[in-house]
Amino acid sequence: MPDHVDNPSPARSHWSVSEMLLRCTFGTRTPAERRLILRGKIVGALILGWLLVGIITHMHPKPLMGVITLFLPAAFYTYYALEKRKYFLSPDELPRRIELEGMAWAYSVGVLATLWLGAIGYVVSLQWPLDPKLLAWVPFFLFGAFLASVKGAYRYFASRRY
Amino acid sequence: MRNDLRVLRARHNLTQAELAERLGVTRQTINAIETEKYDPSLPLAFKIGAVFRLPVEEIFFAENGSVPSRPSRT
Repeated sequence: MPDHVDNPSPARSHWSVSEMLLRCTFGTRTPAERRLILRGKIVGALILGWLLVGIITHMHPKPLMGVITLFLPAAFYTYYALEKRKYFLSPDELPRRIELEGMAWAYSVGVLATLWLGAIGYVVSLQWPLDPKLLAWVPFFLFGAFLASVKGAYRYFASRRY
Repeated sequence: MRNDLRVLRARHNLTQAELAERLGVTRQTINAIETEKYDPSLPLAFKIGAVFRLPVEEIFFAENGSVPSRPSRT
């Protein structure tokens, strides 16, 4: 078999690790993927900018600012989720399958984590009352950070399997 | 499921990337099919057949079991 039609090395046979873990894509550089990455960067910059402004100007303790600070990621993530939905229709069947499997895993882990956190949180709150402001950030850390990491990790390991 | 994709690709002097582009999939998908770690969907299998102008059953075949085994070539 001629060299140029032979298999690439195993290391180059997989999708980019950094793209899968950091950008939640497969690094195929399709128009849909580039669009998602650009919009994700804009959304991230706006949220980060708002948080930095809040910290620098010490305005975060005020209730209105707190409400905006919590609603802003929710609103932007809603937009990002809609963009992600468009992107999700673009990959070919194997990346889409991996992404779907990752979502199924993240869902199962999310249900488990919610049940355990709820039970542990209740027990803890009996002894030490929890600050409601702290509770407001739980969904962000649970669903935004933890479950995204679960899906990212699954995406990585599943892509190594194929 | 086993397949002759790598042999056919070499016979047609195509790289994985070139075949992937023709089929509208990623190169990694072609690699996964060639290494028999992933069985393509029926539409993709037919597309592959169309590229090589061969029926699907001459590209994909079972080692043994419930699906037809590799057809004999005359």
